[in-house]
Amino acid sequence: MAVAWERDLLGNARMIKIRHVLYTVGGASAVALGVFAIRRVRHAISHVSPVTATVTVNRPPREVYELLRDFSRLPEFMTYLDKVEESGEESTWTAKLPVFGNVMWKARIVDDQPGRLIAWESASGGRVRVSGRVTFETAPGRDSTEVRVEMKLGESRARARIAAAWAVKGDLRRLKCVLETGEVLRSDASAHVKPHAAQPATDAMAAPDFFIPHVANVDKGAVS
Amino acid sequence: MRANVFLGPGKVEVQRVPDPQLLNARDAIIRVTATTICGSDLHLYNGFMPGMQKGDILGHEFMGEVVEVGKGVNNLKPGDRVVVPFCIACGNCESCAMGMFACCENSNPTGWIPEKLMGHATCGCFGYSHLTGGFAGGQAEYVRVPFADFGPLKVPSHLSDKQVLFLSDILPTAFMGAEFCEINPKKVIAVFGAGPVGQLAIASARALGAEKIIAVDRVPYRLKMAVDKAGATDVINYEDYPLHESLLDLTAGRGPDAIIECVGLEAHSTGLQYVVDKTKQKLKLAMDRPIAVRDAILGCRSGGIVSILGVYAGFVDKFPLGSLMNRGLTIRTGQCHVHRYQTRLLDMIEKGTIDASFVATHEMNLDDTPKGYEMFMTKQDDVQKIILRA
Repeated sequence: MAVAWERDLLGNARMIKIRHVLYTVGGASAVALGVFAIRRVRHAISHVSPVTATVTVNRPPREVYELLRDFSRLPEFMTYLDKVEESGEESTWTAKLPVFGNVMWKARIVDDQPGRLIAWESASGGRVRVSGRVTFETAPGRDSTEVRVEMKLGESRARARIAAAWAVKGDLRRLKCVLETGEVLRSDASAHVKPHAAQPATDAMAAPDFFIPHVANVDKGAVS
Repeated sequence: MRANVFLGPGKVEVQRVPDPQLLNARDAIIRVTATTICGSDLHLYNGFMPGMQKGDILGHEFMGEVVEVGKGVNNLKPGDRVVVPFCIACGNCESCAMGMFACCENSNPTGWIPEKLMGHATCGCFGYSHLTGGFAGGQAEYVRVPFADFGPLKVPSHLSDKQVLFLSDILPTAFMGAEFCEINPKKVIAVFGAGPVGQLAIASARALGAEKIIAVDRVPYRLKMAVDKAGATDVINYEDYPLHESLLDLTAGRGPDAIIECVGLEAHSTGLQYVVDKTKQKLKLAMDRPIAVRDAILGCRSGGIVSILGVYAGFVDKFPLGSLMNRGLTIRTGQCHVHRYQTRLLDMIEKGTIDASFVATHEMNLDDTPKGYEMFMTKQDDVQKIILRA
């Protein structure tokens, strides 16, 4: 299928097959599309920041504020948070992350309005750069609280932002459970790090700390 | 302990598994004295519900004796005889405060899974996939019951297991479906599906004062029970008579004032559309076969109520939205808010105004559960409800 001709460097006529033209055009478009797709995805990921999450808790704002302001209790419902120690203006946060291992950072409160808002930022120079705020508002027409979290994660990688968005959402669900029912509810499946069938396990109470929030109200000694 | 475990579509087995333990302060451990196979268990058994995992213990309708309570449970003590609602509710969230217990916002620790499929999380249920929390079910010797200070209903010893066991699921479910219909003596009610829930929906409609109740099914022994035991006044076997025309015929062209659909996602019908629906479901192009809902919408009188009790999992095709909208129908549906009806129905049982025990046709040992599934599936030996004893 000869359809086009060109001359080579010595001036000889040479046939170009349309197939080759199509391959070239097709290949170039595929590459262009690929590049375009990667750029779109990167753009989308970069806009995950700031991380936001919301939940409605059937308790008054003051009570929700008080639990969140008591940093030592946060590990009860924040999956990856190991402990928080407050000393004066500053607090020291330790997280146990599945891939990154133990991470520690210092943070300070930049705004604190009881029953309305807590805003914080990490101390400069640390490995973790995070700032954020959580607001508490009475839900329309009822005595429950709309909790809104907004977090900025420095210049951290997109993966970390996505993971954080995921974790914060779950943390808020568990915060709600603690405030409304007293503790984080566990199921036969959820009490394990890896996927687990809905059947009892002898090690259900021994699941690693980074997955199972500390259960403050249960006396583990009383559990057979 | 022994428990009936899901191994894959069409395959369940009674296995030895670890005993349950208290995982939360508001937990109780119940020794199961009687449990059942529910029609909705068949959807799991047949592999139509997403989120099932090999090893899941099935069963969500059970009663038993309290053997251990967590320190947050003050209203129960070892030895109490209780019936446990299939849906788990905390009693503290806004949904619970509104009486929408089957929409509890705190009972589903794997709530992010249904969020993806259904837009919001559902409540937790016993033995009903990882969409509803991944809780071990009641077809076992022991069960851990979360929020035990709120859910389980203590039942008096003078009532038999058969009389009270169905308070766990099918009786309140059927009763709620009938209540949705705003029944009065003038209203004609049709009940689609004459399985255990359908039978009790008929009985509930009768208890609420309906005088004309039409039962629809294709299995003669079920239609016979609907008339003999449940209180239906008319029956339609849609394999012998065209459904829509028969409904119009029995109501002089109006259509029933309300229809209670007790069928669910594995509905049958006659004709080409059934073949199309079944093929789509097989090819995973559709999750549910919404045949009974379609027929109910088309059959119901203009301005009437369609009460959907059958279980559906996802998205459906050929939904008669035009008929629904243009004829001003009301759809009422939901997983049953069991806790809302517990004491009221127990009271009715004690007074004898409702009796659910007639649907229990068979009793077996827990070890024979796989046989029970097979039997219920293929409708052998005029089976309705099978009670399993551990």
